[in-house]
Order: sequence, then C-alpha cells, then structure tokens
Amino acid sequence: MEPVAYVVEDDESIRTLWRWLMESNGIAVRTFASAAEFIAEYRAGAPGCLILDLRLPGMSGRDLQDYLKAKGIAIPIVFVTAHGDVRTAVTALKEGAFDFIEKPFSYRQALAIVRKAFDRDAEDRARDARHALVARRIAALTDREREVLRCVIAGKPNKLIADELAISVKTVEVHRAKLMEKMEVDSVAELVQLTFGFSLMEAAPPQD
Amino acid sequence: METWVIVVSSFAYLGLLFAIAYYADARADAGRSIIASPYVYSLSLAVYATAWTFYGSVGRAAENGVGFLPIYIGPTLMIALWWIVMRKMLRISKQNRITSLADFIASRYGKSALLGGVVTVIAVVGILPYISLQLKAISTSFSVLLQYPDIVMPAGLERPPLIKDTGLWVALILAAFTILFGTRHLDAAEHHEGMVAAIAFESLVKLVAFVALGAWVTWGLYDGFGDIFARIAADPDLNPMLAPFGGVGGDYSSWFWLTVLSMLAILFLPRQFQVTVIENKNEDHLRKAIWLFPLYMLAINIFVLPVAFGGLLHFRGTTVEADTFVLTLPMAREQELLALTVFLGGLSAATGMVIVETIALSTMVCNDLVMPVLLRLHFLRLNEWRDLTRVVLAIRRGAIVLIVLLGYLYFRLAGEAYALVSIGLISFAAVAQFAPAALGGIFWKRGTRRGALCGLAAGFGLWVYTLLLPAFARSGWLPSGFLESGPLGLEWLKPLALFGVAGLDPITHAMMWSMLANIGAYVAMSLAASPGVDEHRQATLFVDVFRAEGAAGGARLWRGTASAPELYSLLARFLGHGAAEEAFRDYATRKGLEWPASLSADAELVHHVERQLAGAIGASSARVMVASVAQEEALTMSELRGLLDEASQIVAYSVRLEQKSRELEAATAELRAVNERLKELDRLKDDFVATVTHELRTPLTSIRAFSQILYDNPNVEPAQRAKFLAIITKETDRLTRLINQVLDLARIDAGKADWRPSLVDVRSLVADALAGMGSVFEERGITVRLHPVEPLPSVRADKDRITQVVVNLLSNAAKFCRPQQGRVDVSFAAQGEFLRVDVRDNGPGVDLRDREAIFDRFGQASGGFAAGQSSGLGLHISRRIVEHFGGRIWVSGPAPGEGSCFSFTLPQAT
Repeated sequence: MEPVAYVVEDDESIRTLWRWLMESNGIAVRTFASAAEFIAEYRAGAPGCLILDLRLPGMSGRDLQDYLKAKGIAIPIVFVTAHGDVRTAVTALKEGAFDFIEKPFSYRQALAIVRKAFDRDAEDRARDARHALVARRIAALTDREREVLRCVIAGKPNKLIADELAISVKTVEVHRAKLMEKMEVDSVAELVQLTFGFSLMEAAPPQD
Repeated sequence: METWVIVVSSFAYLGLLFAIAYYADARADAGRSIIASPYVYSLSLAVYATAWTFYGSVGRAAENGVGFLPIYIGPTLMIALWWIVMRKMLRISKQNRITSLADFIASRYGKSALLGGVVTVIAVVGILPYISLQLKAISTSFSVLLQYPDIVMPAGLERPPLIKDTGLWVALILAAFTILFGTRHLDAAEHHEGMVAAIAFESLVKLVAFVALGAWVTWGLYDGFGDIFARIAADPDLNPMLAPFGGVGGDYSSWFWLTVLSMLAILFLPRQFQVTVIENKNEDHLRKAIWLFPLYMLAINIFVLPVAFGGLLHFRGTTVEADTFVLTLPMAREQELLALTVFLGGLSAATGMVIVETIALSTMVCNDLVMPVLLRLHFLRLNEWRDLTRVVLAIRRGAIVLIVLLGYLYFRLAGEAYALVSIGLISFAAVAQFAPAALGGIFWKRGTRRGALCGLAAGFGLWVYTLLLPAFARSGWLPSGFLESGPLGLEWLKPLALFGVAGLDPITHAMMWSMLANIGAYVAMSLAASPGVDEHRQATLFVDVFRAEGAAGGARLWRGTASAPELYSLLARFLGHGAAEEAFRDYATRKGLEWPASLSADAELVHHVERQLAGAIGASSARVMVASVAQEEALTMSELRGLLDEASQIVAYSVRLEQKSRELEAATAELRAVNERLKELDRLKDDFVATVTHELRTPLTSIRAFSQILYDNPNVEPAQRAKFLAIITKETDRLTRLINQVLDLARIDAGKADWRPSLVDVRSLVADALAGMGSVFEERGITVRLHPVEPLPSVRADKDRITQVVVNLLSNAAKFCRPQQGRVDVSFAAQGEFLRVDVRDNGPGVDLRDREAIFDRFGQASGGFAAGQSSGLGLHISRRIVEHFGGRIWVSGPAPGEGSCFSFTLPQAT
C-alpha cells in the first residue's frame, strides 16, 4: 500500500501548498481543514505520515495527537508550528511526535521531512510485521519445544538440556530439529537473531 | 486590808500575765503559736470589756436600769455584719500589711502621711479619757479596797499630792508593763503574740471574777434573780428602773445613738482594731468569733442588773457610788477573798485595755506621726543610719509612757466630774469619727483624701467642742458660763445645745452634730474633686480587695528603677539583718530565684520591700523610705487607668489581633486573586503573542514557499503560476491587514488611538462603504439591500472608525454568506437615545456559545464556515470602537444555519 501524506491545516493557502508540493513529487496527499475532518476520513493502519498544524480551530493539533495515541493508532506525526509554540512543540515531541517544522518553512525542508517520516513509518511497519511473524511462529511451538528453544538460545549443549529437562539426548535432538523447522531457520545463529528481544516466557503458557 | 497584800497580789497577777506573754512569745518564735485558735482570738476580742464594763456597767444600770445595754447590743449587732465589714478590713490589712487604724485610713487615701497623722492625733486625744477611766477605776478600787473593811468613797478623801497619788503609780507601772509586752522587739508584722495570749487570759480572769461576784450576789445575798427583781418592783423609788428603756434620761434617741456608737467602737477603737485585725492569724477565726464574742458579752452582762439592784438595795441612803458596787458589796459582807478577786478582775480588765490600747496608739504615733516627720527632716539624715530599729523602739516606748501619762493627766483634770461610763462614751464618740473615712474607704471608691481629711477634721472639731471642752468646763478648767450661756455669751453656740438644739443628752447631741458634719464634709469634698493617681490605685486595692487577689495587684502599678542591694540595706536598717535576709530569701524562694545572685529589683521586689517595711514603720513612712532608694516614675492618671484596664486592654488587643489576622487573610486572598489575575493576564499575553506570531507566520509561510517554488521551478505551468502568484498577493494583503490591525489594537490598548469625533450620518456612511467594496459582493454573487428609512438622526463619532466597523461587518457578511445565493440586508432604526444598525446575512450563523467569544481577540467561531479567512481581530477592534463612542455591538440570529445578524448602536448626537 502506498504511503499517504495526510495534511491537517486550517489555512487554505498552506493546504494548496502541501497539495502541490506532494503531488509534484509523486507523493499521495490528502488535506483536511480540521482535525474532525481527518478523524472522519482516516482509516486506521493506513501507511504514511500526518502533517499536523498545532493551532487549529476546534480540536487542536495536540488534542488530535492524544486522540490517536489513545486509539492506539501509530502514525508518524510532523507538527507544523509557529515560533511562539515552542513549549507545546516540546510536549508534542515527548508524547512521541516524529518531528516538527517551523513556519515559515522552505518547501524542500518540508519535502525532506515528509520523506523521512515515510521511511520511519516503513521501518516501524517492517519491524511490527517481523515481530508479528516471530510471535506467530513461537506460538506454534509446543511447550516442550519452547523449553528446548530457550535452552538452545542460552547456548546449552544437548547433553545439558537433556539433564535439565530430564529427557534423553535423543528426544532433545528431535525437539530441536522440529523447532528449527517451525521457526524456519537453518542455524542456531539465525535462530538467536530472530528471537532477539523476545520474551519466550511471555508467549509460553504457564507451566504447572 | 494591808496595802502590801493588795500590792503583792496585783504585782503577782501582772507577773503571771507577763509570764504567759513570755511563754506565748517563746512558742511563737519556735513556730508553735498558741494563739492560732479561734477561741483565743475570741477571748482576745473581749478586751472590749474594760473597767467600764467591770465597774461602770453596774454604775450605769444602778442609774437607769437596762440603759447600760446599748454598749453591748451595738457590738453584737456589728458582729452580725462582720462577715461583710470585718472580713474585708482583714483581707485589706493583710494584703497591704496594715499596722494600725491610722495606717489603714492613710493607706486607703493614697498612703497619705498627713491623714495618718490626723487619725493618730484624733485617736490619741480621743482615747485619753478612756485610759483615764481605767486609771480612775484602778486607783478608786485600790483606795476603796485599802479602807477594808470600812467603805469610804475616794471622793470623800482628800486628793493626795502627786507623789502619793495611786493613779500616777498605777499609770507608771502600766506603762512599764506595756513596754515589756509590746516593745521588747520589733515585729515586721506588728504581731504581739504574747500580748494576745495575756489578753485572752485576762479576759477569762475578769469574766470569772465578775461571774463569781454576780453568782454570790444573786444567790448568796439574795434568793436568785426573781427575788432581786421582785424586791426592786416592790420598791416605789426603784421600780422605774424596770422600764424597758431605762428610767432616767434614757429615751429612744439615746438608745439609738449609743447602739450606733458602740457598733462603730467595736470596729474603730484602736485596741479592737489591733486585736481583731492586726493580731488576727486566720481569717476563718472570724467565723467562731461571730458567735463566741456575743456569748462572752452575754456572760459578763448577765449579772449586771442583779449586782446593781443588789447594791441599790444594800446601800440605799448611803454615799456609796454605784460604780463601786462590784467591790463594795463583798466588802460590806466582809468577803475578803471575793473582794480581792473582784479587785484583781477589775485590775485585769483595766490593764488589758491600757496595754493593748497604748500599744496600738504607740504604733500609730510612731509609724504615722513621728517617723514620717523624722524621715522628712533631712538634717537628721535618718535614712543613712545603719540600724533604725532602736530608734523605732525608743519612739514607741516614749509614746507609751506619754500616752499613759496624758491619760493620767486627763484623769487629774477631768476624771472626777463624770461617772465611768460617761468618760468612756466620750472616747467612743471620738473613734466613731473614723467611721465615714474607714467604711467609706472600703466600700466607696470615689472617697478622696481631701474628703477624709475634711470629714475627720469637722467631726473631731465638733467632738472637741461638744464633748471634750464641756468635760473640762465641768471640772472647772473653763468658766462655767461657757456651758451655760455659750462662748462670749453666744447662746446658739452653747456646746451642749448647738444651734439651739437642746434637750438631748450630751452624747446624742455630740454624735448627731459631729456625724452630720463628718459625713457631710467627707462626701461633699470627695465629690468635689476627683481622686489622684495614688488614691485611685489604693481605692481600687481596698474596695476591690476580693477581686484583685495577691500582692501583685499593687506591684504592677509601680514603675521605676531600684537596686536590690539598696533595697536590702534599707530593709535591714529597720528590721535588722536577720529579718531582712529572711524576707529577701522568702521572696527569692517564692519566685524560684537565687538570693542574692539573681534577684533583680523589679516592681514586685520593690513592692515586697515596701510591704515588709510597712509592717515596721507604717505604709506612708515605708513609701517615703522606699521612694528614697527607688527612683519612681510618676504615674499619670491616664497611665494608671491604662494599667488598671490592662486586662480589658489585653482582651481588646487580642480581639484586634484576631481582626488584624482576618484582615491579613483577606488581604492575602486578595493578593492571591490579583496574582491569579496577573498570571491569567500573563497567560493571555503569551497567548496573544503566540497567536499573533502564528497568524503572521501562516501567510509568511505561503508567501515564502510559493515564491521559492516559482523561483526553483521556472517551468511550472502558467495556470499554476498564476494561481500561486494570486496566493502570494492575497497572503501579502492579509499580512498587511493583520499587521495594521495589531498596531491599531496596540494603539487603542495604550490609549493612544487617534479619535476624531464629528457628526456622522450613518446611512450615507454605510452607502459609501458599500460603494467602495461593491466588487466584493458582485464577485461572490451576493445581493446587498440597504433598507430605506425616514430621515435618521446623526451620531457623534469618528467617521473613519465607524466606516472601519461597517466595512468589517460587511466583509464578514460577504465572507460567510452562502456563495452565489448570498443575501445581505442592512437596516437602521432609532432606538431610544441610540441609533441601531443591523447587518444580516444568510450564512451558517454563529453558534450560541461563540456569540460572545467572537468579539474577543483572535476569537473565531469554532466551526466557522470559512475559518482561517479572518484575522480574529476585526470584530474585537470593532467592539472597541463602538464602545469607545458609548455604543454596543453584538450578534444575534434566529438559529445556527439560518444566518446571523450583527448589530451595533451608537448614541444619537444631541
């Protein structure tokens, strides 16, 4: 799915500016005069970024950010601020905004920052996708396989794993082959890389 | 009877009294007082019963029956009032360490030395007849007893030469004993425990002697009370005696005055004051005394009538004086032992009186007469003497001898002319003069020193004139014409019938006039001028004695500087080092301080020393002495009032404090509110700056970005290029307008706006404005209608400014109208004193909740149809302009979505 630059801006001229700027650079763009319009149109999960004016009539830029966060919608937000709004801008960054640009900005600057936001969005999405994949594969393991997996990642030889789990070395080897297959990896190194940062215990059902 | 028997038994009796006194003193020094008992206290009060009671009552009863009774009814009545009167005098005296009656009165009226002196003189002069009465009784009884078994009246004897006169010897012996009893050492509180013990014993002796005699007469000579009274009733000469108010000369007025007189005497006789007040150990002793003392009076009087009647019956037709019946009756029946007992009883009664009376008087003479004078005689340098106790004792001893000798002198001069009771009543009348000043002093704060002095002087003057001078006249020391036809023959000045008031007995006559003058002068002079600072303070201490507890009441009123060692040496000079050190150590212990290390001479210590000193030399002298070492700052009346009202002031102060703290709280709250308001304003200012920045930068962004695009991309299609250039132009206009508005507003805010009022025709003004911006409406296809009306009044305002308002409203209307079908209606109306203009459009209208906000700075309607197209300052500036000219601007509308109506009014030009 192609990423879209969503622009929420109450000033008509600036909206025109964004529209032209994006379109002439081959970027899909949707403009909204208010936060409410955006909320009505935006479909959660759609890739892209949000260019958001801080000062909007009705629901402000900050309000919209909080709203999206509360809804669990993760989309990189680029705030557009005037000089007097530094404090609000800082708060917005702390709350997870991707970046901000200050009026009056140059169109190149604006373009660059949108591209970076798109990259971030893509990265986030890829990471999320891989996470989802690994989680799915781990979930597919049996309890015993998950235990063996934990021992393998910890670098324990089969003999030790067999002692620890009170099963035969032969059985360990079987589990090991099975889980490598399920995790779709060819080497232990690949396995470690794939599961890095995952808490296996989380995915594991409680042991009795 | 042998002289020596009488003399030896007399001396033996006096020796016994002295032994008792000595023992009591020793016990007191050991801290185990034997007089700290209500019974001893009550018995000591019986010093009231003197030779007058012992011999005189019978004499009086033999003359006019029950006429002797008022002298005992009075004290009994007064005792019933003691709980009110005496308890207060006691409390006052203890708190102020009063040493005598003179001290009491002087203290009350601002520690006046003059008043103390006057009281002392009156007391001494007034009491002299009374002392002479005792001397007369002793010497008469001695002479009579000496003739035993013959009964010879002393009047019948030749007056002996001075050196052989029993009276003189009796006087000297009594003086010596008094000195022994009363002035062996100096007591700081003027307590004479030994004397009190001896007096209590003496009271028993005279009671026993008299009752023994009475019983003997009643049942020995006759056959009981009934027998005696029956015999009198049967005798036509004697039965008038049984009339209820006495026979001869006893009428209601003299009963009344004698009762009053004795009521006052029990309070103000110096010796009664001494035993009742000064020697009192415990206020509670009064409770028992209140019924014990009347009982004693009853016991000692019960046999008076039987003895008198017995004497009258027995000595009928002889020259035996009724005053001697008590002694002559047993002598006539040759009851030698009983006669001697009676003599000793009489001696006892007389000596008791003389001892206590002279001690009391000598204290007064010393403390209130001699010491104040000596201390004021600076050439004596008395206040530099290291030890003044000897001086004080010497003065007192001298005073005792002098008083007793003066009593003897009176006895020689005037004693023979009167019966015992008559002599005594003269003294009663003298001390009664103290009543107005003393009683007024404890119940009436308004009484002043001047009032007391004048009252005492007037009363005493009349007493001298109506009682003392006639006594001398009768004795032949003044020409008899003085009594019979008045001085210099002035009838109305006759001492016994002043201003023609005749037919009264001398005592009633004197009491009436002297009390009238005394009370009149006291009250009148007191009311004539307000009391001074000292008087006011003392009056409060006396009258409010039960309210102001503790000695601190007096100390607080003192202000000044002193040094503790100086105060110590002062006290030591009068009391000796032992007593002074004890006084200081007591004080330090009570205060929880170290003596002499850490004792500072504050007001309380000074007061303490003054009180100690007052016990030795009287309040007024003590005041003089303390003043000599302590530099006292004078208190003004207002300062004193301030001090006295301190308590109420503290209350008022704390109320004021509370009020202040409430005010502070209120001020704090106000400040907090102001601070909040400032913060709010600050926030508004920040908001304003942020908004202005935003509003300026937004068009700047468009201008910058589009011009950059056009510059960087020369091959933008012409249509696009035209569009971008149009945006740049529009945004530049917007920027300019905005900047102008901000500056305009800043000028209005700062009060620097340039207002140029003139007469304005609003309708033509609107028409002009429409003409100027006609293209705007045409472009958008908006129909504008200017409603025709009859001629309108003009308004007084700045034409350009009002045009600004109208253009703003019209362009808003144009902006928000529905495109292509827009309608704008402008109408006018004269409304009271105002002219009203309505600009109605058919746009989306203004939400109810925004109708006020749109007139604020940058206040835009939240759901504006074309939000972002207005700066947000236009309406605000319009409101400022309209309000400046006294008008109003507002928006109304049927409902959101059905258009809005902006209206403003301006006052019509007059």
